[in-house]
Amino acid sequence: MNHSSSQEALSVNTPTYDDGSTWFSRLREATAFWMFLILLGLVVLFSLISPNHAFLSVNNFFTIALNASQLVLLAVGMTFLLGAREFDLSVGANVVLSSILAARTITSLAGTPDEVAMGNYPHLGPAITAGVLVAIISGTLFGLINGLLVTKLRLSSFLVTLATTAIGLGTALVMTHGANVPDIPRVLQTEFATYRVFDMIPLPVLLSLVLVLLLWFTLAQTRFGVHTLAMGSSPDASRRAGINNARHLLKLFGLMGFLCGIAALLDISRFATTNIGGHQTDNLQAVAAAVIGGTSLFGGIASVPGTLVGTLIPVVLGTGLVIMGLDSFYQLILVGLIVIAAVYIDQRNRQLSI
Amino acid sequence: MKTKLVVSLATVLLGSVSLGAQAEEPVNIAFLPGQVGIPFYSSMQCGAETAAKEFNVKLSWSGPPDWDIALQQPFIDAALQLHPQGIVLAPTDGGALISQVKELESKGLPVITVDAPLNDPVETQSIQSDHFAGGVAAAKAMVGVAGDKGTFLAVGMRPGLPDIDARVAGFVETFKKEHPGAKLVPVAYPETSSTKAAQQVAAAIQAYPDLKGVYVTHSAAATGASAAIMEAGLRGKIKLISFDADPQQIRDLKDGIYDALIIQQPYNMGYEAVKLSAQLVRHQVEKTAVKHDNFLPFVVATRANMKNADIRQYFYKTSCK
Amino acid sequence: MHTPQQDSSAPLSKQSMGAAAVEAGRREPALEAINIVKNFGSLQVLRDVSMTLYRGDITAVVGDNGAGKSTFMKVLSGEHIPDGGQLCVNNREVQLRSTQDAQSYGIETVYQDLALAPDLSVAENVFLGREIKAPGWRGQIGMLDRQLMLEESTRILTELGAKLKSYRATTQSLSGGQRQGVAIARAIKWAQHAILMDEPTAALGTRQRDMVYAAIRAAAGRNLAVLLISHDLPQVLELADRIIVMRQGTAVANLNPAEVTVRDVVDVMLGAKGA
Repeated sequence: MNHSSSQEALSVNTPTYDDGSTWFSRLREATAFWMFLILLGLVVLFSLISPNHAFLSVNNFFTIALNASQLVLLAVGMTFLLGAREFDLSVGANVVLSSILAARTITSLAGTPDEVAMGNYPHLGPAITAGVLVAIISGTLFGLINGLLVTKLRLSSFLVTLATTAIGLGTALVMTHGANVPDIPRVLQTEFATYRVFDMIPLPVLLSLVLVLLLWFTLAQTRFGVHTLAMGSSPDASRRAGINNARHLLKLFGLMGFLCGIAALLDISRFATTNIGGHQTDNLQAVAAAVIGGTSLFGGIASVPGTLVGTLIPVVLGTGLVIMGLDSFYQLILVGLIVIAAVYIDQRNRQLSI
Repeated sequence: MKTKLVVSLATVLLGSVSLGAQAEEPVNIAFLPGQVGIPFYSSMQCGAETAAKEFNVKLSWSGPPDWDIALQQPFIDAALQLHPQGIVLAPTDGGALISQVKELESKGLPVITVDAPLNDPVETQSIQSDHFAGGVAAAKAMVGVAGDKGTFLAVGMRPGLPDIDARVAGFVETFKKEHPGAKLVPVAYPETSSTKAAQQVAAAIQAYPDLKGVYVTHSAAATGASAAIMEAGLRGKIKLISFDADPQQIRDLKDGIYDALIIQQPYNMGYEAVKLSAQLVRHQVEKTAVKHDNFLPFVVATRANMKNADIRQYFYKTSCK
Repeated sequence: MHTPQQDSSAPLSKQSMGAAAVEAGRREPALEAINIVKNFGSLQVLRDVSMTLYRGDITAVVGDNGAGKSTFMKVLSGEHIPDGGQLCVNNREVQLRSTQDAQSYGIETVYQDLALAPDLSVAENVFLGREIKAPGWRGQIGMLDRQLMLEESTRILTELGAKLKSYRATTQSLSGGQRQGVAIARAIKWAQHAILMDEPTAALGTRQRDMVYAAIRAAAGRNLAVLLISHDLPQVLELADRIIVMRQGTAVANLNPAEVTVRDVVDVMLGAKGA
């Protein structure tokens, strides 16, 4: 009987808790917050000191976004996996393999070998549709295989994906003899990759942005997101709460693979060729982006907006340094320093909050 | 020794009976490409096979699917099992293969390297493109299509790669010496990533509104640079010059993606290497008389000259037909 | 931080609970174990353990190390599948093959390590695995009703007397007692018939211990059967309605805490006195 009265008293009191909790949650997200400040600072700095303020233009910002559009997909996928205390080293190999399969599909369906070699593509529409499907399916399958190996054989995801990196790249090389797939229709480049919505937003940027927003929502607002972080925070706790850890993990690896498939599509449509040798460090770049954004390598803490910031910082640095006429290799050093700063902030906050 | 004797005997006997090379005993030559399945090496194979026919050579051709010493080594070992009389090798590692080549040479087997040299000149001859000259040719081509006023960007891979660095140096030094009015921005090094190349070229486009030309030294940089130029909507306004002449690159030259291509001569590398090998085995040419370095010049293809037969013959082929 | 002394959840404390049911003369069994046998290989860990947990009662299970207390509890929580015997929930025989099974029959467990996800908030932990979706279209696109879950967690924890600074804080930022409170709150929230607790006060200081005891009483006060495993005999005597002593894999005595001393219990535990 007394319940109802205390309940009412409580609902009146609720705002008090809110105050305390915003402070806490701010603390928790401090890495992302600081990194956002760094990003903002870099943008302001480059805008001010670049010759003729060349850095400061809407066009430049969308170009930067375009150059981040592939990596951000891999980095957000990695954010989910790291949040669940898992890892995927094979993202680069997955992108390469998926892009080769998709490119092969497109070039073999678009016309006879002679037609395609001459740059004629009589069956362009169906070929591209099939290519898109192949990229998505092969990417997702690659991810699911990682997931099955991790969950069924109970192997560490680090080692499993190290092995599937080798297998994936090996398969790609066997299929292509190391030569990039030629004769991919340029129309992918001209009608999709360089197309700008409202003459402003490149289509690949829009696609990536939609996916990132969707995944942000998923991680922050849905059961799927809570379970992901619960698993990473304490696998035992999530298992005892009735969560099927293995099945959830499989979904996460599948998601990562799906994103690799999309990144592969962006790759072949942006460059109208495959890039077999160009994805060796994608995995580490993705991890770095997530870590810069405040995602913990130890699971349980992950932030999609943080990862977005973490993906943009290296691109902004790279672009800014070239605009300043400086050696682009400084970018590597600066990104390394920022990663250290991010990890340090994360660690300090954890100590404070305990 | 025995082979040598037989060969020289055969030369004496057959040479006296009939004239010309056709009647000679065939010479066994092992050709070890650095990579198979790509147009550059397919063209080289065509040249090698043509020479083999002309000079009565039994040619074996086998190499790895990827440019990797670990993959190439088994092909080298297998080829040696067949006791060839001469060897043509595209060394995938300039250091690792030195001692093997030294040993073969000391046994009297002439070794000719193609495409890339060894770090120590232990082979009989090294036939390769003159990459510095390629850079010079690129600079000239650039001035031809874009003039010599404004800003220009050269894109390398990473510092420390002799071929690519020479391509960059030839371009940069020519510009500095002969076109002081042009502004060269620092060389971009995107490694093998198209995405990084696109990012760096896009940044340069942003920074230098008067960017007139981009010069790329390898294929990943080429795809990245062309994407960046296209994405900025400046296709045709910013000139792009690249290396090599794969079928797709030729088409891209025609379509205005590239404005000039700096083309190597893989066909002639293959042809010259097999020809010289046969001559060395038959002692028509003595090893001491062979100069070590044989640099083949580059050919420059532009939209203006790409229809000419004397340029077209240098385009890389996927098959010899 | 937490003020167990002023324990405002007084209406839920001891006198309001099991006593009522006892007075009414009919004690309702919530969970019955009959002749439970459990072997680990050739080792028989549980030998025909029978026990009835009544609604509103706090039943303490005591025994020396290795007596089989924890194994027995794990049988009830679905973590171990028994090799023999019967389990009845609400007078109906059930098979518990997993912790999920036990949860679906309304049996909740508070583990010794609490099984909380340290990086998740209090509310997220209370609702972990059983999150509530938002009403309307927001729920249809998968959105959770965080506000409702927060309010609900706040309500339960306040009733338990655990005053937390923030219910959005991660559980790793809480004190040991507060964390225990969260774990118990979660069990209370979801249990329909019984709550099983393994050494809930093992690592706590006195003040926090009192808070947890209040929470345990509150659980019983909600007409749930509470099973409590504890080493702390003086507290068990004060808290429990009945004490079951286990020795060498079987239940050897059923004691009324009102009638025995710590000394008596220890004697039975060690086998100095027959049951």
